[in-house]
Amino acid sequence: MVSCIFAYVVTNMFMDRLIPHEYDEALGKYMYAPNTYGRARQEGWATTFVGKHNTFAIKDIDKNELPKIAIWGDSAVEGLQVPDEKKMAQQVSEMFVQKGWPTIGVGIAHSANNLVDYIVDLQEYELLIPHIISHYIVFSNVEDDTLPDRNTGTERSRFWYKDGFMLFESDNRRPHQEIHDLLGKLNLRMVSYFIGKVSRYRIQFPWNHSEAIARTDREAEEPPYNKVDAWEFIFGELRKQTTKPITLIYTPALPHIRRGSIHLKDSSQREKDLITIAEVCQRHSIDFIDLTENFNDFFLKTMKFPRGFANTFPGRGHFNADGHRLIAEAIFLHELKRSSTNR
Amino acid sequence: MMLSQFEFVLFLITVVIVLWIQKNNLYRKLILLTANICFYCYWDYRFCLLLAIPVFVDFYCGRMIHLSETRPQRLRYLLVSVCVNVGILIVFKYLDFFLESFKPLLHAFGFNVRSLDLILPLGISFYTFRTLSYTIDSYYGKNEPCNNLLDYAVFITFFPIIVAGPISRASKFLPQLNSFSPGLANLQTGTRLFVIGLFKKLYIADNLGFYVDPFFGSPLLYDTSTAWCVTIAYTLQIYFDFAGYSDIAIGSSRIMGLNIEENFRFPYLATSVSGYWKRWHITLSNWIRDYLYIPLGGNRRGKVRTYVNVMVAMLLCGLWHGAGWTFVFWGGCHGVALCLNRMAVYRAKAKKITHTNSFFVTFLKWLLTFLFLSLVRVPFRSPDFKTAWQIMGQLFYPHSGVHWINPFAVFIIITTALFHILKVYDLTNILELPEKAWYTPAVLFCLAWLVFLFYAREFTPFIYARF
Repeated sequence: MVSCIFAYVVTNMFMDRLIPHEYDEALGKYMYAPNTYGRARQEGWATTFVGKHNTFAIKDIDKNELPKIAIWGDSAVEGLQVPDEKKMAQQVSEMFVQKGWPTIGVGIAHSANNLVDYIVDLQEYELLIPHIISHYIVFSNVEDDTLPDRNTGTERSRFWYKDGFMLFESDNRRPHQEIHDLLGKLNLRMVSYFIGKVSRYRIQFPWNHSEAIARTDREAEEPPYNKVDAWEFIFGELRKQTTKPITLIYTPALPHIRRGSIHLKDSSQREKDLITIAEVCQRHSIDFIDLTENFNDFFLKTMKFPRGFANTFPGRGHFNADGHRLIAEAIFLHELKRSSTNR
Repeated sequence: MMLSQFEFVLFLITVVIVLWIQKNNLYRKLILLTANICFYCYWDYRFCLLLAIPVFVDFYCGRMIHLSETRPQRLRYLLVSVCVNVGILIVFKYLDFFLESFKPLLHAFGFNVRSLDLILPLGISFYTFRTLSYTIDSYYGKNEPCNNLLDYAVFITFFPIIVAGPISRASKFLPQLNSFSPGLANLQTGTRLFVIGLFKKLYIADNLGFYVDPFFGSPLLYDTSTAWCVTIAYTLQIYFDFAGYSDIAIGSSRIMGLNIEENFRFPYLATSVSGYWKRWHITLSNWIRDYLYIPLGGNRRGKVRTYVNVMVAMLLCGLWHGAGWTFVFWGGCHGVALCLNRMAVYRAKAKKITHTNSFFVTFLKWLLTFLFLSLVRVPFRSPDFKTAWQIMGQLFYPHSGVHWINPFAVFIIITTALFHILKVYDLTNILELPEKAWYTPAVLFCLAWLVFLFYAREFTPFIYARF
């Protein structure tokens, strides 16, 4: 009994919590169960309110009548690692409040999302959430987040390449959904409160971390298709979904510490790719913001990284509150510049 | 297979079950020897042959020492044993180090040398010291001769302690082999130590390592407060890592019905460096005292000779830890501290000063000792003197850089400090989990739970396993 109480308390205080998924009738796929809480403890320390349709830190978004800036992204936009008020969308809202413009930022995200997910979602969300005035898409990885078949984490929509580019959609049924459903049926959902989010690696035999780091440091292999064609296809499709302005924000994993020194630059190949992406975006009337300089300036002024937390390695992982603020500032300034003429 | 890995748990369970089923003592020893060989082969089967050399040579030398009637004859066999064991140790552990260190000198004499890049055999420093203790004790008539090669082979290759000690003595270990069995009482006691050891290693030490290792990889990137926090965190990491290993080794042995000497007794409660060596790696410090310091003359040949003996013993102790000048330097620092300690004792005796043990004085002594122990760990952990020097500069001269105070490290530092304070006032009885206490199984379960939930993402070998 003592051990059980201890396990319960420790798990709920110090372990991440897996956010359950539920079938979303409006979107026709599995989404985070609305009105639940996500808890991050092993990277950062925060509790996040999960609203309807994968929105974060905001309740009943579909009933809110204020103009909205949709901020799309993966776990970076989810921001489970930082408290709700520090998330980029909430900081954008705060900046607009201070400016006296009643506009709110809405973070719409799911871990491991890919640019292709937004092609499927933009239109549907504009119907679900009223008064979206512009879309910002945050991405961090030039290859994994934009090219076909690269990001294997997503179970939602896939960008495929086989003798041409194509898209297909799944219902986002997560691998652990069966366990979750079974626990629910047996009235044993309590079990999850004892084990928290025990990731796969925790029950694996020890693995070679240096190999994993080498893998992440390695340059991405060149794909068997033309990357420019892939971007032309995906940005073209993205543009077709909405008449509202779309802005792509590149948030690099910079600066970071690697092999004993601080790196402020992406690889030359990635820099070339970014220039290409910016050009493709321009052709499809999509704005493009590269935050590399903002991140580097912030680091050089403060010696703080936009990513990483006290309980993880500095400069690596998800955005901390400073990182969220830097992105929020970029969105706010860009939105001011863009819409000041329209307002 | 390291003692903190899942494979080891499965291996240990298998061995214990087989030992439990088998009632015949001879077969039990055979099972144990087979397990020892399997354990070593799992690391690298080629080195089993190397391990066989001290087994056969020292068993033979030990017997011949006992059978010899004259001192020169006994000395001859002792020298054979010492030369073979120290020779193997030098070739596999130190040869490359010496070749690299004296390369310019050797070049000057026309020798074109290059490193041999030999693999360091697992546990070589530990089993060499154990086997040497047997022949040296035999020479001085301190132990009974071992008449059974099987017993001796089990002693030298005993798998829980072969990787990193404790450096068990033959006189304590061999008699136990006449009758040993895993029983329920042993299972209970051993499991308690095993779980505590896993907790120290996997939960505390490895998670501290996550903080410590990146810092030592690039210390100049971080600021002064981070450097201090990491230095203290490393002092605790190495303790929890090694004490955890020792607990697992002693616990595993106990589960099989064999008792191994304790290795740690709250070393960071020491108020002097000499006190520290009575609490830290006790089996090694006893070995150095009995087989190095005392044969050199100990403190019986005047003050200067005592200081020389202390320095020689500690420099060799440093070298034993690793083939590197940073380790020798670490040993030298401890030697100097021990000499200063002894000087103070001589002075106090000469002036007939009686020490006042007021709280303030004791605290000051403890603080100075702990700071010394933490600071000399910097060269011990650093890859070279340049890095160690940079970190020392960072510690004592304000340095700006990335500020990273890991909350887990702070939590462990504070908790360990509180635990030690309770120990000073003898209030740790509850926390030390007495065997018969009703709450012990529940707390052990909780510790095992914490290990399962929070063990570090990457595999970290025991720090002392590389010595």
